Amino acid sequence: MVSGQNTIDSIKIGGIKLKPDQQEVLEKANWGVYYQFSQKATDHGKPVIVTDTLLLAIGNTQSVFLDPYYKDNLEKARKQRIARSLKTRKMDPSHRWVDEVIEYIDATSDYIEENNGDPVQIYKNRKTQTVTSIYNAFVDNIMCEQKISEFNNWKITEEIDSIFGYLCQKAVVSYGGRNYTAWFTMDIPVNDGPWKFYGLPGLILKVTDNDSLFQFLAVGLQQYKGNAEIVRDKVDYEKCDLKTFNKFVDKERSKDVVSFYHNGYLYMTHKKKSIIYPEMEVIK
Amino acid sequence: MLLLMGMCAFSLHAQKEIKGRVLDSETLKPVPTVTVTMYPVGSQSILTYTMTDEDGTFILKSNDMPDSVTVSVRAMTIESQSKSIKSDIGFVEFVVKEKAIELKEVIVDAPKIRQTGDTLNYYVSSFLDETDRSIGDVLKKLPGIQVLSTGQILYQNKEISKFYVEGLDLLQGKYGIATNNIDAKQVATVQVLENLLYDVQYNGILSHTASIEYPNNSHSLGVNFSLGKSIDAINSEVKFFANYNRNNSIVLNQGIISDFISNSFTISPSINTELGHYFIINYNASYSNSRSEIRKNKMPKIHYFTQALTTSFIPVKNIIVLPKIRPLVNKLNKNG
Repeated sequence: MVSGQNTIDSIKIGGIKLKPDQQEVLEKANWGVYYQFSQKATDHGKPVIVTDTLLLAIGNTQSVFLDPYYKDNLEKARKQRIARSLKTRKMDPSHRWVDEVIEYIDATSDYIEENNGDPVQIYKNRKTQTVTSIYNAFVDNIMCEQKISEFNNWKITEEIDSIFGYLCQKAVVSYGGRNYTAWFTMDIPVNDGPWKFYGLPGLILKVTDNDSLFQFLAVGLQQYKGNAEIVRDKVDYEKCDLKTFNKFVDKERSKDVVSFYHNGYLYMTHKKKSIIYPEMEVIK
Repeated sequence: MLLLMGMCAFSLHAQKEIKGRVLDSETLKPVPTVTVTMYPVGSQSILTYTMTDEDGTFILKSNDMPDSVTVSVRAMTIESQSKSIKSDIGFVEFVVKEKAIELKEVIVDAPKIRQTGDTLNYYVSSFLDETDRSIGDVLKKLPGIQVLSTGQILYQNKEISKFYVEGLDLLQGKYGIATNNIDAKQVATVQVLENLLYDVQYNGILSHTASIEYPNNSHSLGVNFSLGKSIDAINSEVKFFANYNRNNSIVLNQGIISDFISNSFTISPSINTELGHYFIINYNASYSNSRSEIRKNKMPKIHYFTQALTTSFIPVKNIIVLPKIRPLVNKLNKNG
């Protein structure tokens, strides 16, 4: 159903690498929870709501929260780029890439804007209570490990609601300079949730911040039949603190790779996005 | 007596704790990461909760613990269990059966649309029915899109300006042919690109080249043009090159940007021409991005698409240079 699940026998969730020997398998994934993530951004100063569908893949003790299309989008963009540059060179049929990119060879538009989705992947380990944010790029990979003590301070209230048939209870917490309201269900006894959220006696199905800038809402639930694995790229990670990590990600997220095919050359550069996203964590 | 009552009250509200352990019924090994919840007996409101450690143990602490409580253990991998106990019991043990929990699946219908920035992606497969023949049949179903019987496509009641197939504007306005004939099953995604920057900005100025005759041997030409938003992408040095094409021979001159204010450029290339010839002038802009910006962020090893950055260019194609010199234009017109 979701691209990225290339073969029936093995769904690898996480990282950007495609070959098994470049992946480190962390755990089997049992469940996939799809969240619709909406955020109030501004585009050329005008307010817009950007929505995305993100996946929380849950294993027995670990989980990963990511954009399920990101890996495929990157790979597609890479192949398109190769295809276009090969075409410009009056492709040599013996070139080592030809088989891989043949389907993209005609994709030689004048202008392509690569927008591959949300690059940040958030790994959680329920045993060690650590939240690890990872940004994989082709050259370097950065990582930020957190133990979020704020998530020990959830206040559970008596309010209840139903989210796709699951009875949910309300809880509130402050984290990263924002106040959040979460709805969790005891019927799914996993201490996990979208993004970095965890720390409740059941899965968090909905989170909103009190300024209504963000909302995560569970929209789908899928059982993996023993064929899905949470993986991480087997690469050297550069560790940094949260502030540095967020700064880097914001910077990378604020531009798209754009490319032209013109007069036999492929031109590439970055284009600044007109869209400005709100900060989830306000760090002083 | 008063003192005694005071002590009683104190002991009622003092922080109490219940320790415990969760073991697997077959292996008797500890079960980690089990959610342990405590309620007052007969109530659903959670008093406190915790998770078992690596060794299967847990501690439930509460400032306001009634005399008897219900403790329940739950996890994805075990059959859940509850015990009602006296709160002064001190220690409670659960022996649980391993069992993968069954949850009701909810059909994932969300990833049909994905919107980030200006581009709206529709995943065709999620809208596709058996009866759909052409891509037009599918397009009709996409929110915000209308298809007229002629094959014309409206997005939010406005006719679309371009119809790209695999990124190519193959049919140039006659896309109705495509709407009604492209097999829907061959299409993976449909993208709606709003404000397609380069098309909008460069329309008109990029559509054809100009031939200009220069009367003098040496000539200086001032050109003013705006590149629109495209350039705000790059906070880097910008250079312009002018290609002079005459009888298939190319002379390359470098233009200099004398002004770089709010995306508008003034270039004053100095051109040496031979008398009486026609030239086709193309301007190209190139950017040399020093990557210094990226280096500034205190993580020197981190950079992104290194290769792309060192060779990044945006060509500005075939800008028509409209000479301001009136006699020249007149002469051009006379020559037809």
